[in-house]
Amino acid sequence: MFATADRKRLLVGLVLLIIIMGMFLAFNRLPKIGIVGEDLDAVSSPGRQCFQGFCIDRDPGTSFITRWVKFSISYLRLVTVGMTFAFITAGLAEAFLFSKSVGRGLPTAGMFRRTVQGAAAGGMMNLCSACIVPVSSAFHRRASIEGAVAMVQGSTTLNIPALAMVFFVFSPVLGFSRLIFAIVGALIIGPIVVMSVRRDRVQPVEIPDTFKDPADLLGWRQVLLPAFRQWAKSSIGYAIRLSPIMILAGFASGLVIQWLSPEVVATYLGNDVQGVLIAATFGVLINVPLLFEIPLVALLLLLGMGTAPAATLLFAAAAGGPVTFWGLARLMPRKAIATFATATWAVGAAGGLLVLLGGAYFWEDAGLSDRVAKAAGTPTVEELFVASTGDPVDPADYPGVFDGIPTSDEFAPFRNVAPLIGTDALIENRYPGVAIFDFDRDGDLDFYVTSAETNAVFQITRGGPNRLFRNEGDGRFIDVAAIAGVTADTQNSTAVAACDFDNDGYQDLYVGAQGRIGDNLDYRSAAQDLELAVVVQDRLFHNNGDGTFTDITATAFAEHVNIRSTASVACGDVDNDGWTDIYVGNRADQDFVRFDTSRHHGNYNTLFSNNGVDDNGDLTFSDMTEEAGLVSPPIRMRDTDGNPITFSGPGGEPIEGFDISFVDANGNVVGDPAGQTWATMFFDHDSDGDLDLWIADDGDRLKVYRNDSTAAGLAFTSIEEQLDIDQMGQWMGFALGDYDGDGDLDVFVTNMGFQPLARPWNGVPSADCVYYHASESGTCFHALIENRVNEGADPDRRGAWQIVTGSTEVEPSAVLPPTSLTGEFKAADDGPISGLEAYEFGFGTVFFDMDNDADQDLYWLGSLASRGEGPNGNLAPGIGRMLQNTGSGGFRDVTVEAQLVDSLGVDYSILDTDDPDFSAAKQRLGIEFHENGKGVAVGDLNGDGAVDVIATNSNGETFDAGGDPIVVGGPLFVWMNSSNDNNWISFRLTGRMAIDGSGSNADAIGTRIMVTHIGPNGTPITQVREVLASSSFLSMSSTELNFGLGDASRVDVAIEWPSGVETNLNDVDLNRLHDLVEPAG
Amino acid sequence: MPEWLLEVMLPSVVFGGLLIMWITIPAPEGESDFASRLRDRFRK
Repeated sequence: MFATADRKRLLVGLVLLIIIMGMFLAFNRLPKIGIVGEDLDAVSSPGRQCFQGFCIDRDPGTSFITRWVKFSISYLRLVTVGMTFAFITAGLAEAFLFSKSVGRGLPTAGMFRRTVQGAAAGGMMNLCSACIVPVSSAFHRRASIEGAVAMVQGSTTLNIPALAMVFFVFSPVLGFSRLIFAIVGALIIGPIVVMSVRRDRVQPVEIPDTFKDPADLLGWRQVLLPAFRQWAKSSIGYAIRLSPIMILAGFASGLVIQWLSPEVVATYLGNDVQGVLIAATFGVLINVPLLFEIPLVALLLLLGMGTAPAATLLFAAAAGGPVTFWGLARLMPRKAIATFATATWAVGAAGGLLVLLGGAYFWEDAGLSDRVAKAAGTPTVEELFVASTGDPVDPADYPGVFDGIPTSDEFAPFRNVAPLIGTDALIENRYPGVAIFDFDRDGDLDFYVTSAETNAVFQITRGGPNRLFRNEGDGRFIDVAAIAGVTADTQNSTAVAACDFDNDGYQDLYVGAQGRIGDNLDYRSAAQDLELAVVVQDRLFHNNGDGTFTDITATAFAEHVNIRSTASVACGDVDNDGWTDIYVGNRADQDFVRFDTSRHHGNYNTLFSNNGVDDNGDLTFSDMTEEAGLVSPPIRMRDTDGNPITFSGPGGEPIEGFDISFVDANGNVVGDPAGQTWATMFFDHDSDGDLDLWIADDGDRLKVYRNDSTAAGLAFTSIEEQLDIDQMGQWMGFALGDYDGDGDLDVFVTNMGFQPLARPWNGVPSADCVYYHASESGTCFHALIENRVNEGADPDRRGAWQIVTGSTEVEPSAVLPPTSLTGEFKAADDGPISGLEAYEFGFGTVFFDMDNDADQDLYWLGSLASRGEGPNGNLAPGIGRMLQNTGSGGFRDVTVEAQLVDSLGVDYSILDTDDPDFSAAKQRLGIEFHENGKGVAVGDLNGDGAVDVIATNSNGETFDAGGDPIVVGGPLFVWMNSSNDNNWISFRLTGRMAIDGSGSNADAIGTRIMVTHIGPNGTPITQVREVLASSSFLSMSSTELNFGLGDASRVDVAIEWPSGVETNLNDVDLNRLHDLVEPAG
Repeated sequence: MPEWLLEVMLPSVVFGGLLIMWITIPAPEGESDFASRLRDRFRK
């Protein structure tokens, strides 16, 4: 059986091969699957998407060279083990398996058979395209060019781990296309290469069967010792010859990949012929480690690459590259190498074009599988959710919540009753909004929550059912959205405002929408595609007054309907004609949001002027943005010297911060030369009787428009510069309240907070926090803006509004102090942080009197990326902060004591940090346990005089019990305020328009109320509020006005209606809601 | 031990071992290469 030397070598060679491959699988291949998994997790993370140093959110502190070197070294580290095994396997093959005489008889097997043998052998090897070269070189001796090429193809594209992962990660379209491409490539590329060099092809060594090798007469030792020597010699030879070029190629590949950016992907890798051809070219120009084409393609899909180029790249990137071609050049003519590269390109390109063609008829443009999106409502989060109030939850457990005034404490903890709603309280939406209003006018407040597709790239579901929770008055909230006709489930819903636009006494719903995530299409493209337009267009639902709504979007807005990724909706009667107008703040399509470059513009905002109800009974609006002077000004983008950073406009003219060459997948220009608006607020900041407009943009200056409208028409004037509050910031939410009790309304604006200051700046002028602070061009701290008009300042001049964030003292929580105060945080610029600046990220925010002690307390919440326990959860985290007003111009952090931490399953049972049983980690009292806070709204849901809080959290990534990443719904918190025995008084105002068509708008938006009473020290206190109907961040609080009175026993009330009518009430009854109608003028 | 050192150890040990094997095992008669010359030098 082992009579010949070849057979002896073959036997030992096979044994050694099995041992080596076993070690290889155990030490390299299996762990590498984990590494690929980690990369996939990073890729699918909403906050930071990276592939070996190539990130959407690039590390701000790294230069191009650093990223290139880092990537290249990572690449080389990843392939080192594979290369080592490859070299010794190649030497083994040459010395033991494919020695010259082993091939006797094989050349007659034919081209096809050699090709199949090569593909099969390569598939078992499962080495990367560069790594397999030495082995295929040895194999070439036996099986000629076609066998060697097929082995490369088989190893890189037909190996089982890669095929399994492809089906696991990507959609069936991509999975099957990769399988088919791999089979076709392995079977035809080798023969094509051979045919291209038929005249000068390298002939396999033909050895007649009758050949007798003298070595066959030798014993085992005499045969094997030279073979082992040859093994060592060949392996070292391969290493010496191939290692240097592989190192060079690694850096070359790194260079190519570093040139990629989201803009490049969006521009050149769209789902079209150009994208396919570019993907094929790119694929053959890079070498990637085995399996790593998978996260690379996943990342590019997230960046906007189309399915067809993805299919192409998935094959071409794996199938070959410069190192592969260089290595094989030693054993076949250059013409054969050129044919190999061209054939690889052609198979990838042709396959991609077929996928493109098929996509037009058979399947939707969907790249990744839905493995992540399916995990909503997993036990882990549900358990936490229920545990946040106890299980089972019953209204009887909370008599204090539902039965009026419970205690005499300063304040009692809030109680989250959202679990009463069940798992419906988990929201599927990146940008969930909430509006609190009494939709059925039954006297108690209901609320509406928006939903959307969670991540279009993972699963195209189109929209999601919004929810209208009807307050049953007994502690239950029942979702009646379907009955009411306001699910809007084809829409990607975001911000919401509930305002009575037709003055019939019932609040209607304006529901904003956002662009689809992952489609790489901006709003202009959406407008051209009716199917897409229904997903991304805003909607107006008219309240019929009978518990149902009617979608009147088409008649109300006609062709002017907003489709620009709404993030904020503000209602207000800007021309005081009694009809409530709408201002829509638009952000940017999620696919194009970047803040680490000089280009981070958004979409134009829109002012819809209410025309009233026409003769046909239709409510209509006109787009009056331009006439009113409210066309969003160009985003401000300055270099380090303070000079504008400009791009060329259509006629070559400079445009600040806006690049018209930035186009979406359909070639339409992305966005407008405008900021990305997160929040808008109408209020009469100069007390002249009309509504002014404040705008919070992400990565732009704070904007203030004074309303100068007259009977001749609408007119707004930008005055933020003359007020000297035009700070650059990543402004996100507005709160309005008289925090210092001086009788005028102050403003709080949320921002990124201090955490991003720890990350070094990438050197590019952008909306980067460190850049802002170092260049004094802006700030990432929140802004508490004190109104000093009542101190004598001119409301339209510098000094009227003072940013006092740093000088506003906050007594930190003993349990959850911000890390800026604990020594755990260090800013990159080592700049000072003080007062309210020491606090974290915020989105939604609101002033309200949480303890009814007659001053305004402040709440905000928000986190940038995923849940704290998910991937990248520490990227600008926030747990929500409830700051109790101390009455002396400062605040006290009572978030924990109030049990308003934005986190599931917090155990508040022990709050004494000196208690030996206290454990922050076990009790989930840490910044790392945050949810994905977004919107917040307040209103007295149970009529007990204590203002309750509803907060939304977006869905986000976390890990399940097995450690696998999953996306879970964001919990809705319905925090019922148990309050105390302080006195209070509340008002629900109705404008005269709802009664007889005269006077103020039905919701009385803009009405100002002054409540005067005697304070604890005997001095009179006047509290002021204004009826707001603005979405601070995606959300809108109740239009009811609530006043805490402490122990005051008498209050006088003055009401200034927008119509100019005034109402004065003396010695008003306390501890009740007053339903007031505007008197006839 | 730093991670990079571990990563360097594998190829070092493998190729070091192969080099020793190449030098230690005598070359077939009439064959001269780097290892055989080194071996001859050591034997002298």
